[in-house]
Amino acid sequence: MTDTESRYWKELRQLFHGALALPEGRRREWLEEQCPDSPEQVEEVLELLKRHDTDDEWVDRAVSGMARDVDAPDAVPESRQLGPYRIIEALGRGGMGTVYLAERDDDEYHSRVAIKLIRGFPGDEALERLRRERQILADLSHPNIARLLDGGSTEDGQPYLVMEHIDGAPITQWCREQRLDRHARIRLFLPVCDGVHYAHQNLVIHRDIKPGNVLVNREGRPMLLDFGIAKLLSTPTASAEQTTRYYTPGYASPEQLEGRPVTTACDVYSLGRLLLAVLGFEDDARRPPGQETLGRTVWQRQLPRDLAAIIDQSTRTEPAKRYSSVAALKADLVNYLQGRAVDAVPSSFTYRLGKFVLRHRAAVAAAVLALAVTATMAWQWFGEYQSARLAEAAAAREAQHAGQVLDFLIDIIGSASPEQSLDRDVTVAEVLERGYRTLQESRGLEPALEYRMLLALGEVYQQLEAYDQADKLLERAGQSTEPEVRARALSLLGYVRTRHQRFDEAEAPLRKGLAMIEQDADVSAGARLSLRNHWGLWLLETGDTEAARAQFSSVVDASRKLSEEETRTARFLHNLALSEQRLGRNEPAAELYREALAIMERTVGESHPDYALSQRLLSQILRRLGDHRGAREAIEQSVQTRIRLFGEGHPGLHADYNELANAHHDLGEFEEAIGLYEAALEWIESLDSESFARAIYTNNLASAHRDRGDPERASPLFRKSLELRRDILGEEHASVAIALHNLAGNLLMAGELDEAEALIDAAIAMRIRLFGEDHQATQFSRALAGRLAALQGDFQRAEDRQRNALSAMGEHLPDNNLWMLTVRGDLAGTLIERGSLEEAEAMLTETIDLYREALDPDHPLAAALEVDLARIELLDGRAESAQERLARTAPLLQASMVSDSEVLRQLDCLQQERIEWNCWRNHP
Amino acid sequence: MAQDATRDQDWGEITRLLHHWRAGDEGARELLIRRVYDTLHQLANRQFARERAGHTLQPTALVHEVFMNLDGSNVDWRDRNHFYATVARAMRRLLVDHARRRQRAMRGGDRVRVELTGSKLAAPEPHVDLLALDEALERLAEHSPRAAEIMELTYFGGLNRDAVAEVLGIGARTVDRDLSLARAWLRRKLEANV
Repeated sequence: MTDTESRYWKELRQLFHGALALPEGRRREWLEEQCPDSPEQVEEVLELLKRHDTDDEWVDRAVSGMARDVDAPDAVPESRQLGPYRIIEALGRGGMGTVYLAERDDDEYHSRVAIKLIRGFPGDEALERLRRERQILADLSHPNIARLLDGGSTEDGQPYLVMEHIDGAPITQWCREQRLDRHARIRLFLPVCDGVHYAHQNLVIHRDIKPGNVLVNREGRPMLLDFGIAKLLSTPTASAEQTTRYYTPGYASPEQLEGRPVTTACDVYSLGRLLLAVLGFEDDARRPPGQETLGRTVWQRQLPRDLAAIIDQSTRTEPAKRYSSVAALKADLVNYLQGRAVDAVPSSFTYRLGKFVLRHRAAVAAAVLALAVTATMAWQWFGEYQSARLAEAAAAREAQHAGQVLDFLIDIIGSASPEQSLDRDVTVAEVLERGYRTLQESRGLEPALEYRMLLALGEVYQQLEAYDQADKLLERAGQSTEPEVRARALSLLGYVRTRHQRFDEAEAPLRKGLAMIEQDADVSAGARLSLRNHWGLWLLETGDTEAARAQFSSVVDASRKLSEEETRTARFLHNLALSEQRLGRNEPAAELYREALAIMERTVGESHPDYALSQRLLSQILRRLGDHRGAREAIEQSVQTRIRLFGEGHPGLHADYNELANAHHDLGEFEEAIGLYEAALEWIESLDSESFARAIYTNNLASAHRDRGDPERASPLFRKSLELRRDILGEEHASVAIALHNLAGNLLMAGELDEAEALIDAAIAMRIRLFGEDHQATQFSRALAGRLAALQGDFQRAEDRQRNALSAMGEHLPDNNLWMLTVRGDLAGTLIERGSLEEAEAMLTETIDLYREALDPDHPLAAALEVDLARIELLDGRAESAQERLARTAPLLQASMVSDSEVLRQLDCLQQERIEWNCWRNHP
Repeated sequence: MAQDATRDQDWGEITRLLHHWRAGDEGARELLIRRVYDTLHQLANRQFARERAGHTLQPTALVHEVFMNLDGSNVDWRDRNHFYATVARAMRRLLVDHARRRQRAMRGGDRVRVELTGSKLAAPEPHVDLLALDEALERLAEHSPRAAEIMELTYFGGLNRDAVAEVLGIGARTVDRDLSLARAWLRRKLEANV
């Protein structure tokens, strides 16, 4: 292979893609960390990213512009006279020909026209067709359509069209120059819709709507040019490929690009894109949509939700899902202008924060309504135990309070609704801040009411994972004299502290609450369940998993019987799943998560923190079950939801970044994984807590470096992970054993065998103490001892150890488990050295298939094993097949692995037919 | 037309060369490129001659045209993609040759260039010298031959990413990733030149 990258490019590529996976605001910092000594490199990558983000079609346009320059002599027809028209100057060139400004050369009219000379010389039949079509177009008469006046052929037979000349600027330019605000731009866009709709009614499709074809004249009237010209220019026999060239990137509909039949829906599509351009997102409009990545695009973030939804609806890939007509599109724009609800339904991808605010309004209303329900239930309790009169009075007061709380919250949230803050997205956090301040400032509130409001706000803060604020509010709410409010506040306070890993402080409010509900009849069933549920969580987090599972199980049953609150049941199901997961029962756990998610989809919808959380945990389980694609889908859903809810800067997103990194890691996308792990680490470090998560992320980051063949970079990280675990967990712990094992494995790769040997022994010993000899983890470490033996040159011993470990692990683990695959790959390597080529080949082939099946067809780890397979072929005298295999494998490995990784060295050696392993084992 | 008679034969030879190339014979590729270059040249000249006024040349359209001119419509799609790859290279050479000739011609002062007074209707297009682009692509190839090849196939061959992936024997994801970086890199290089 001659395909070798320069070091410069390799670094550039890794930095570029690593940074690209990060949110824009975090790139510089990350890059600076990556190359502390090279500010120029940081600047270069940033500049590249900027270009990537702003206009990645630039090169496309430059190339087509260039090609035109090469061969376009820019000549005006020699005669300068076409029929009765005198050419004045060339106005411009488009894909179909050159446009000239001309004057009608007789005394009666002195009108200026635009003449379009069409490239190519059509045959008789095509000319005839052209004439027919021209007549239809000439009949189009609408104030927003430039008239087709005439047509003809030059002396040597080149056809031309004569059109009303519009002295104006493209609509986008006009909007910019006139500094039109958003509403004015939409109002300017409406007559464009009128013109297109009129044409559609006359069975003419424009086919090439774009800013250059919509000029605004001196009176400020938008005029559509070139109606139906695209069709005139394509011959009936033209293939899709031929006609494609007349389409404009970004504006042409997918079906046009694919050469499928053109309908009015194409114009709806192009109008949607034009609208985007008119609203100031010209670059986005030019970029063909699709290949959406995580998160919304800039315009989706910046435009009001309804407007973005209108554009979405117009530009759906499937024509049937767009507006049924241009008139419908226009009607929805009018809805928008008048502040009415629009018909467009945002696609799942383009939910916006505004949407969340709306949803959230519902959620808060529901929370408050729950209080009202409580009031009713309390009334029932009263009804049973107290006199009906008292109850009635209380209920009236409750209802009044509930109403006041509701008004209060809705008022705050309403102030953030799109109508009241037109040009800016308001985060929910800001809204709450406002609410909190209002609450602080208001005097003379009835104490009972104030406690309720504190509780309501505390609940919302809790949902937003703003634990400090929630803690403060809930602690105060816990002093309420109303049993219901007090119980709920205690329950939630216990939960918030448990989530914050302040287990000791969490225990008191929870026990207090539980004691209270034992005695106090005045607490609703919902609050009771909530307390028991949070108690279960506390048990779970403090290590009593079985007790927690039993608690959740009874809570789920009780909640199902109550049945009026399905959302609540979903939350309990989630927790039950969590306890099953902790107990290692993956399949039942996955089922429970799915059930919880299904309930949430039905009730609260996907834009809910609980939904994201269940998706995230489901993703973890799916990974464990080997369903990596499913896992990535789930985690992407989760992260999208959470970014949507919290914004990219939310510190609580570290776990998301880690999970997302895992998903990339599993698919062999190491660069992305590394960037995301680093982002996760940075967040957790900024949180300033000695959290265990930090050890995990450090370990994961190290593994990604190791997997791309860079043990030198991985070693210090693995050491750090070990150190962190020891600090937090003590010397003897399952997690410490993992760190020992990983560091040892990495040191083997780095060639530091002595230190590795000591660590392997320590890991084995600890795992025997913790889990016993037969446990898969113990055996996995024993397999590592096998790899050590191989590196020491004792292949007999290596084989024994690896075979024993593999068969013991096979008792507990499925074949496609990553540990199993790792050991099988090792064993195959040993077998090659032992000369058992046939068995090695069979084992490698099977392992590669399993890798591909378990991870990704394009996975570098599988590719690395192919290199071993090629080695067997070389040893076996099948040089041709070996070289073919190597050539096929090389690009993927070169793209994924660092350049001095062992596998690439091995690849080089083998390509030169050097098959002895010290060719690549020894470091250069 | 005379050309019709030779089509089958042309295509037969091209197919043969393609097969050799796919089997790893770079010499066959060179032959192919020369072959295609000639066809491309003829075709382009024929068009230039006929369309004196405001001719526009779109590389990918021309590539398709070459393909149809050789009547390759019933060719196996893998051959087809490799063929496009060949045309891409030929196209690039042709354009660069043209640009060089023109540069010479302009230096010689034997050609009158009619300047446009303003191109009110034309979409804004970055003005870049083709020779500068060629040069930048060469530089790119020094750093990453694969990225340069992907650019060439995409811009001069009109291949979509799946076809590019097929021709180069790499994953579509890799194509996307290389393209995004190479585009930004090339743009930065060229903007520095302007």
